[in-house]
Amino acid sequence: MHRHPPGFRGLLLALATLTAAVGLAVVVGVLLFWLVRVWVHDLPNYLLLLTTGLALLPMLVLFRRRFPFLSDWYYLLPATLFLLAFTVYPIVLTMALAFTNFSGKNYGRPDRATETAVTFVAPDTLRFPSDPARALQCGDSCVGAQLEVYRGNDRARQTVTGEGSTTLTLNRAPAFATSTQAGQLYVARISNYHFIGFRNFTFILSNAATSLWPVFRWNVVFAAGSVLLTALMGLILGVVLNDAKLRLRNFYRTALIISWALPNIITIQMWNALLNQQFGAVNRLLGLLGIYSIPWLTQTDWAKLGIILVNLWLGFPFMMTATLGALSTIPNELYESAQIDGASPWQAFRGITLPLVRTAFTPVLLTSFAFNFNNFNLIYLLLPQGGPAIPGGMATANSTDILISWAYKTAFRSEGGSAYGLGSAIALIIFVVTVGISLINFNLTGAFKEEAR
Amino acid sequence: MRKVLFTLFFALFGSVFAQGTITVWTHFGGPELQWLQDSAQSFQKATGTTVNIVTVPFGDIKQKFILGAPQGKGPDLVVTLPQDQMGEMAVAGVLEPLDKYVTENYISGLEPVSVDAFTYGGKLFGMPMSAESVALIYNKKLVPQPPKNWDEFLAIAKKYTTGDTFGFLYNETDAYFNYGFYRMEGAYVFGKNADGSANTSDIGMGGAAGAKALDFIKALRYTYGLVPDGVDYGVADGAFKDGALAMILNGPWALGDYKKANLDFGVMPFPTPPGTKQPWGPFVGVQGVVVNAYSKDKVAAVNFAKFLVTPESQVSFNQAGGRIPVSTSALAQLSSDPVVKGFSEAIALGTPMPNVPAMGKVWGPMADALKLAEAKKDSDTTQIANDFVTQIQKGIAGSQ
Repeated sequence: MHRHPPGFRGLLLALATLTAAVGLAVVVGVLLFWLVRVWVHDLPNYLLLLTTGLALLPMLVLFRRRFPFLSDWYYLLPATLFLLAFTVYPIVLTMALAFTNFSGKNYGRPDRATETAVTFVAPDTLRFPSDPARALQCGDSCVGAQLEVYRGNDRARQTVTGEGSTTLTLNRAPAFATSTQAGQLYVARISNYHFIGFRNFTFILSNAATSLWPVFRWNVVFAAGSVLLTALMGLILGVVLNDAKLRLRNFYRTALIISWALPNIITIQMWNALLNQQFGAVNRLLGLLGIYSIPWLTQTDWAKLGIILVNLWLGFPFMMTATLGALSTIPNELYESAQIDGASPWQAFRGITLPLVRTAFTPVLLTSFAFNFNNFNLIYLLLPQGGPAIPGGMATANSTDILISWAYKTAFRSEGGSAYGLGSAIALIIFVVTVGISLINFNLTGAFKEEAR
Repeated sequence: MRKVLFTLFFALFGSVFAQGTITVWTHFGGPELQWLQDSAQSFQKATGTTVNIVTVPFGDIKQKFILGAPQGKGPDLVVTLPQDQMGEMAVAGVLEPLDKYVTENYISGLEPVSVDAFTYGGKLFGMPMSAESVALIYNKKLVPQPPKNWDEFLAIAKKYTTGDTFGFLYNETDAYFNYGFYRMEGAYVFGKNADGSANTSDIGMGGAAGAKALDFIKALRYTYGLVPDGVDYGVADGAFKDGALAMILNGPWALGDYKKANLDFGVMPFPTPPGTKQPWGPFVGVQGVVVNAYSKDKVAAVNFAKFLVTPESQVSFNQAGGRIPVSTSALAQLSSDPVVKGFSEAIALGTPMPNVPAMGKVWGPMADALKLAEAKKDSDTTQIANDFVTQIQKGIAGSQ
């Protein structure tokens, strides 16, 4: 085997050579793509991936000749590339957007309400029919503003460097300025987004009392409540179903697992209909028992209870299966010897079943908490129009919203008006919170102290 | 092998002969979608341009269009969008200003309110195709004589509110359906600047007027016992279709289904209760065809848009679904239709929905205010109305 250079320097060297190999492959891939485009026009851009991949193979072989130790690293390369593209890049982008005012309104695209027909005086100078600052709604002066200049399908982005009474000078002439193609020339001001520092965060904190804290509190209560209830129910059912004396227990197992087996996208929306106050099956059944018209989904406390109950229905089969799995690992001899020693079934349960199930159960509970903390499907699909409003709260944060649904509604629903920057800021808060919760969890469970045990 | 060559041959020549393809996004369904498909076919026969129709849910169009169009993933045109979504899309750069494609003659043949609705920043961003507003639709089988005033309305509504049948239902927690009750009390969304454009710092939904409007909406549930908790659009619409509901507040888009259900129905403005400032008047939405600024074939797109908004097309569109035309000559042709007449009366009472992007910050807080007011019999409507205005102001300030 070829020796890998030792220590931190070796790691850096390996990473640098790998980056160089991939970077060179990208350069060759782009060149290859351009070369093919000379013959085949309208080449779809995704073919860049193919040409880069083609260039990467010989590049890796070449680099291995020069740096033989790299072959170990090639095993990690695909996973690393995917991690960079689909995990690191979105996180970095979210962090960057959280400090901008990027939104449907500030979108980095030309505001068509400012579209003005213009003519070229010189290749880099435009003549306006009237005052350019007025036509383009620049405020006092258009200098520094970004413009889109377009004619037919030709477009160019330019910055204004000078201003006359009816003319604007651009930083450089658009590429199509000298072409003789016919058609009217237009210009529109680009509504750019820019860095705004911590403004998104101060906005969220200024609404903390009516939006951030209620949403966060409910988020924790919802996740913890769901985990505890599903675990309790799953445990009880698992222990009952594990009893060999129970007849038809395979039938019960199958029947009880149905709510987990069905796609929750569908079942959650069915629960929305079932819980309708006037016409839902749940209230009709309760009506037969003499309990009238519970405002599931329309009154804050009932809606929260409704969500937790639906989540119990959705979640207990998972816990039940986990319990059955854990129970099957407990050897029967333990129970037999307990019986011989004269232990009651309850003593056997407390002394044998619970402690042995607990070790298998702890990671399941943590996973379940992490899953429910960001359980977007349930919250958003059960109350698609948003739950009951919080008095004085933001329209995107209703009383049943959790952080993730709040971020989604801010960025992608009409209530939020496509406020991507603000939505990213909320997502960043979720990120910080979940990292904090995970650290606490790791500490409590000693997940990182595996070797010390 | 021969088959492959054959296909290749036709594929090659097919692309030579075709005059191009344009893509249309639409939120129409049922008979209106059928109408659009028929129109696309006759357009193809007339011009040779193939029209590819894609159905996109109404609530998703704005978002998808703004994100997709600059990347070349948008349609060439959208049939149709209401004017309140148009402002934000124009600012986001995806809508083509249409002034350069239309004639004075075309503009003068339209109802002025529809041209105003699609004019933003002094430019026309859509070709108006239909107007709509909510109005009181009554089932003639249950209500042979339409109520002449509020008292008659209340008597009929109470008579049919039995538990098995309903007298009057509507989407009570939705902002759009409730605006008429706000207007009754003199509330308004945005004031006007001297030049007629919307003044978004003057919000008229709070104060005494806003509180009184919420009180009235609350009374429909708690005082008159008409609209129970949990009624949404689907529930009210379904009950009317089943013949179990005497009167509903709904718009022309629902009429296609009501015709299909063989209902005999009439349309009239909602009767205004006594003691209010002005008559009930709904939000008037104008729906129009908009063109993608990044379309590769704007000429074909604009031609199809023009083809869809001719007076003849507007008449046949009304017959397919029931939406109200905005062309004066189409309206004249349909003047004897009682449904068109009923909605025209309601539209005449109404106010056009603001088309400025700030309108996007009104819907959410308004729905919240309605939900909060209706949640409890003793809800504090003055507080809710003022919180509502604060939320709009915060929303507008937060999006700067």
